[in-house]
Amino acid sequence: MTIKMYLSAKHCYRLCCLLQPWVLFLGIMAGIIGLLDGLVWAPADYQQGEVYRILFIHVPAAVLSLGVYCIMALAAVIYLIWKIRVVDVIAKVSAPVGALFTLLTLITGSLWGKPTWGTYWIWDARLTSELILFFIYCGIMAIRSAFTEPFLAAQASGVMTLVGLVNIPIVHYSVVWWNTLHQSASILKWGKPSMVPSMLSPLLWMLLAYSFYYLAILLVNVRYELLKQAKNTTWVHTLFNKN
Amino acid sequence: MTSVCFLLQAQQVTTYRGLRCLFHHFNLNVSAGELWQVLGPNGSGKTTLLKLLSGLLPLQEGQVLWRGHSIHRDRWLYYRELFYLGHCGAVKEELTVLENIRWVLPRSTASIPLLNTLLEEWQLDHLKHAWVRHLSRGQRQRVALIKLILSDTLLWILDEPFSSLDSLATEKMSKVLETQVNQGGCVIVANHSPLTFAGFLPHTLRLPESVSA
Amino acid sequence: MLSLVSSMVRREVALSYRKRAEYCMPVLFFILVSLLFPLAMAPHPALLKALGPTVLWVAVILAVLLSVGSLFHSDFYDGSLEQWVLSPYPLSLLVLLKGVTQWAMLIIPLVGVVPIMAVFFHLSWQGIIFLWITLIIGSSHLYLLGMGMAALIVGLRNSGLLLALLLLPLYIPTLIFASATVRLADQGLPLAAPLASLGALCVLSWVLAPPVTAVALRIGVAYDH
Repeated sequence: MTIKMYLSAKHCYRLCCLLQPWVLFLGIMAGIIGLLDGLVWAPADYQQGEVYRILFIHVPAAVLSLGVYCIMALAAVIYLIWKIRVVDVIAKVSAPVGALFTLLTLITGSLWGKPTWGTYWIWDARLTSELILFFIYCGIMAIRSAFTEPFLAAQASGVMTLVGLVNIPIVHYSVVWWNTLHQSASILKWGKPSMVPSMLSPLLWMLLAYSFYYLAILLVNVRYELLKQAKNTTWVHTLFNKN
Repeated sequence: MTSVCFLLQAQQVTTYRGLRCLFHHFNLNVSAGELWQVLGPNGSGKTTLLKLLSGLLPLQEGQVLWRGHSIHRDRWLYYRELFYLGHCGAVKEELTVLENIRWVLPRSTASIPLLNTLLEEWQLDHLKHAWVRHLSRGQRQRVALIKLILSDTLLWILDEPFSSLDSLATEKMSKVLETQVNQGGCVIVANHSPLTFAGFLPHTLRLPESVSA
Repeated sequence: MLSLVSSMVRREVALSYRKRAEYCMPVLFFILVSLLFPLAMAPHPALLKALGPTVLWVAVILAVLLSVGSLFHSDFYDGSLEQWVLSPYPLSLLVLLKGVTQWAMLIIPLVGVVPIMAVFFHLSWQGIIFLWITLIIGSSHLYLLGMGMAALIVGLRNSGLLLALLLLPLYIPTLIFASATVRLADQGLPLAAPLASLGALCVLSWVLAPPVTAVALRIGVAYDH
């Protein structure tokens, strides 16, 4: 069997059905451990006190808002070159989740900013570029829904994703290139992470939980999209006749 | 099966519009000196087929080959020997007839006397400095046809070239198509009704019956 | 090749000249939008001077947005775009020629109007000079980027708002750098950093926009109208 046959809708649907309960279970477990570790077990920060605990919600959301965009960009490249439909479904389904993570980042960051910086919002490079990222997500979703022809919608939103990819390094390196109020990178940088292990571990657990959450949403929506797109084929009919 | 005597080949071409399959494993072989007429009622996919063969629409499956090379990978090889005449004749309204012929993607090195002869033949000589906006639909179609004749390419893909033409112009156009075929070129024409020619019998493709091969 | 360049340029210039009313609209729009701000607020000269670069650049962005939205419309609806996609000449080159010609025709009246707007906003002569410089560098970047996005949605009806939603987030960095440059110039402060960033964006768009527009056009032209 060639790779393209493995990537057919039927096989992917079966794979999604197999993985979904596991991903959900692992995600919930990681979430529980992360929240316990972050909210209860981790010590208070010497500078910010208990307020800093919003970090465990804010930072994974921020990491994933960039990560999901990178996944969408990779999917766009693969689709534009090899025209594999499943890959486009992944990109289509990831966009709303990425937008949600970006919005969560902005809101939790704003709530964190008030007690620590004294203001809900500041126009520095990191916050501005994250806001632009949110609008780029909206643009990608808008352009996909503007085309009635699914094949063209896929290509158009793929091109738009790649054009907006320029923003991702700007978001990540904004704290390095400009004088910003926002804290610079502590984990995703060269060298050792500059956080104590007791605070690093809940962060990593929450990151894992968010990733599993994203995967779970991806699997559910990919299943739905695959069924919708293949609704006239025989394998879908046999699937529904069995139930 | 690929054979070097076929110029244009469509192999297992499949395409969808939305979720509806328009062509499923469609095959076509065109060699030099052939005229293919694509017939069918409105909405049967004539324009879509012509666009697929000219490379305007992407294929979901299958390939279209020109002289054995894929038209999507080796675009330049194909496009220098193709002239596509769509529904809209690609004439700019705000330019004059002469400007439309000479400025819009100059392909041929047509001399001025040849151009003037053609304009006279198609009764556009007195209108050559008039804006296309002030011409009738039939006259605009004739401007597009002059561009076609001057392009001097091997393969012509024409979408309803006889629309809006009067009987004199229709006769002239048929003669032009005959000349193209007799000189070894290929023509693929979409039309409402069957075409008849004096010197040869055209190949016919009826849609939607022949949608899947 | 030379005949291709000359015929493309002559075609675009003739088309714009013969649709003179449409051609004048972006400049008039720019003037009107800029004038809205001093009319809407208490026109203290110091306040206007501080806000001037920002307001002028927002107006430039809106004018370019409107102008670029209708760049490919007439070509799409009369079938010329199909001929371009099917021509033996490289599509990036055709697109670059059209884009640059149309941009040049947009920028000339804008550049001419700038000294008048500078008077309205009490800008200094350094501000005017750098407004010219940023206008030429920045607007070419805006126009070429806009051309790429407009090519993507060329077949859609009522695509004005969608184009705005797609383009404005991508225009924000240019807006930030350009208005910062003019503001710093007006105050006589060093402005190498934002000007260099603006220049980098401009070079990036001149290099990347034509091939991206060619890809986008091939997608856009497949849309049924």
